[in-house]
Amino acid sequence: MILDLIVQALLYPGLLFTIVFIIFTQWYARKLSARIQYRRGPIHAGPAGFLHPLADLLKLVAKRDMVNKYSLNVSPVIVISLAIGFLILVQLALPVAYKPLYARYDSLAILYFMLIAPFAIAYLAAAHPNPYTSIGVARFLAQLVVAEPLFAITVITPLIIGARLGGEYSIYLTSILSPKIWSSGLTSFIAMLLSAIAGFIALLAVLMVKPFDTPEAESEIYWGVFTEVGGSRLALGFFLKFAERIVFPMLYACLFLGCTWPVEPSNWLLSTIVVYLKTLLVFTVLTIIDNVMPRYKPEQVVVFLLKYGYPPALLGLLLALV
Amino acid sequence: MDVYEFTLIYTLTSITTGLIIYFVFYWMFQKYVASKTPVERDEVSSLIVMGGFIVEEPARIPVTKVFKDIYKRALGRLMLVEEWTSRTSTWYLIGLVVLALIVIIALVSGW
Repeated sequence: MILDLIVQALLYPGLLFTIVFIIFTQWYARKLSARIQYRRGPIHAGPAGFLHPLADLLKLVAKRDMVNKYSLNVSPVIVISLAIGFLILVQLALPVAYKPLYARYDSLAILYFMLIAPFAIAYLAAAHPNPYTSIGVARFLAQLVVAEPLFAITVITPLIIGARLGGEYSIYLTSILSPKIWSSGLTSFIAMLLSAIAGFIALLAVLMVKPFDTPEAESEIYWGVFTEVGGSRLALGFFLKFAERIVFPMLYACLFLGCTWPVEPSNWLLSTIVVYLKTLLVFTVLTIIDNVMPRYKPEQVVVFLLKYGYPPALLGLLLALV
Repeated sequence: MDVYEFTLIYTLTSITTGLIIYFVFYWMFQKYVASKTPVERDEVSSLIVMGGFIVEEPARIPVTKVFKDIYKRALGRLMLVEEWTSRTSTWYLIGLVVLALIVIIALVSGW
């Protein structure tokens, strides 16, 4: 078991595979963004510019670490590294793992571990003082205060319905039951539909996708939370941010998009491919939205999430509970 | 496996993975690669410049102040009154009523 755990944590679907998948998704996102903006996107590093994200990563980590004299030195780097570890290992509790790690009520722990990532980004930013960083951190925290509970509520809805079908409030078991949850009655269907809509809105806000990118707000507050970090610190910050853009959509695909459906989970290879394709689908939609939407003001983010996120999420939860 | 065992295993594995990331992507690269990179710094590099002017200390903006300001503007009385009076007759209220009706009908009908 320990060997399986180490292999899964460090090779697949953990660290190494996540790095490869980040390289692919970032290349894909850049190409897609370029297509939308009538540009060519990356072309030089590797075939069709495929290795451009890797070149960027190596360029950043190879830079000498420098911070301003008001910054914290070691703790932000350790915090961000640990947060990456906690986040990417969520994949071990999903059907993409060949020996999934799961337990009854594991969703409580997983939701908590997923919470660490955005707050680690906020800590990384706050540890490198700068007026624009402070504004970015304040905006990010203001956004998270409404977005994180919203995301949690929407995740709880399929868990509650799935528990009646044997899901035991486990992320893995509920994912496997996802198609059955949708078809287990009209009330469940409506609850799932409302939660899926609210969950997607929460996903946009947690991942800082436009119109919810006020914490970064390029050209408005320079780069917000990332203004003062560079070199290896920026590389780790981006590693976490890009890992979030894989893990959160994967969880969304597993809970709301039928997970391995139409393939039976017993066929591990095919079902894993299906989960990755669905994750890519969510990622594609996020990238398109990121390119075509304007940016909200920070207070508009809060109002929007309260007005359009919470009513369907809470009604979905209410329906799931009855 | 119970949830306590799960949490313990998950936490230990995550911490190990996180520390490996720290040692590989930060410590090793800094020690063996970045340390050989030439430093391009002069006397101007260490100066703090704000808005084009050299300052003793950078301006500080309290995070809590900005945070409170965002919520004040989002949830302030004026904002609520304005939103309410301008949007009560629009599709938002209709949407809320429709959603509530769907839930009530679903519950009453026992679907």
